[in-house]
Amino acid sequence: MRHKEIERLIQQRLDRELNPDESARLDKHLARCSECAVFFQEMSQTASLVQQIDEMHPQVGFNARILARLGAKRRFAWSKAGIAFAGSWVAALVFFIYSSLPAQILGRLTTSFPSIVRLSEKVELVITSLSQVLTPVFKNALSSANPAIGLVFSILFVYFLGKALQKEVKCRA
Amino acid sequence: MKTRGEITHLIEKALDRDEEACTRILNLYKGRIFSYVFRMVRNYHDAEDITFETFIKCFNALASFDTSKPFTTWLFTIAHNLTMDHFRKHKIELEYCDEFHPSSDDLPREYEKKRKIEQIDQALSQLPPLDRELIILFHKEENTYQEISEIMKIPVTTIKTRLHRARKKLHGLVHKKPEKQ
Repeated sequence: MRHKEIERLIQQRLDRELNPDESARLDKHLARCSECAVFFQEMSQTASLVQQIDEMHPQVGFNARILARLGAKRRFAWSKAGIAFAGSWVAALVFFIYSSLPAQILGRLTTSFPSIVRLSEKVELVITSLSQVLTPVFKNALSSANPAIGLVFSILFVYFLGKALQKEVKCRA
Repeated sequence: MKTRGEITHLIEKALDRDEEACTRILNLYKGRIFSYVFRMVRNYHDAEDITFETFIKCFNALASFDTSKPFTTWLFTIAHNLTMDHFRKHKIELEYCDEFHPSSDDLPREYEKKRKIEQIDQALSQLPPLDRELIILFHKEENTYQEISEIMKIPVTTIKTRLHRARKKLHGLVHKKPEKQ
């Protein structure tokens, strides 16, 4: 095979377009022709080094100049803030329900307002009926898992709050 | 590397001039575009100006971008057109070597590989701009022939022929051999 033909095959291999037959022919020739083998090795190395040349960057402040020209605006991350807000409310509610505070408030109200007593009795009756009919097993499981639930909600609250803050810091950078 | 869906989502937000989306697009592509433009024009400030205009044009024309096509090809097309405008404005010949002769004194010589990469970078600068561009778009940016054809508005067959010639020229410059015709 002539060297010119081999050079065409070498170029095609660097183009990632060599078929298996041509590839085998090229390898066979390279194994016995040192001149072509050196040429192939140098060409491959050159191509591979091009890939490794350093990436460069414009000066600091480039983004700011573009954003200023575009008139880009910061959008408040409503979805993240909403999740953090809802998480904090749920966590606070869980702590409130499982603390002694509701019982103390209810005790005071029953002595002061008889009408509220009647209302609370009705509400209690509805809740008790629902819990007895619908979720006796769930209720037991829930009461034994109280501390864990509180902990999970607290972790979720801290996580989402952290994410929202992180986003805020990134936007300002 | 972002998926096409993620890029499309960023583009939708950037259309609304969302600062975070614009910043993310800039951070994803400014290095690649700046490197490409710098290696074409070989002047830091010109490269920065062209990169700046590339992104301004990109953000202003985002609504016309076809999301079924690769975003990078579109972005590189804008950068290519602005670079060509720069060459025309400064009457730089595209087919022949420019007069840039880099000094090698300030190059770090600590590592052999680093030295070789610097040598390639210097040799690239001695190629005519169009050959240089083909080498960068194919080997550095790993574009396909079809993508390069879209960016440079040249037929695929011409790109193949020119790339083979450019690669041989580059090899000759790196290994100090005159190109055989």
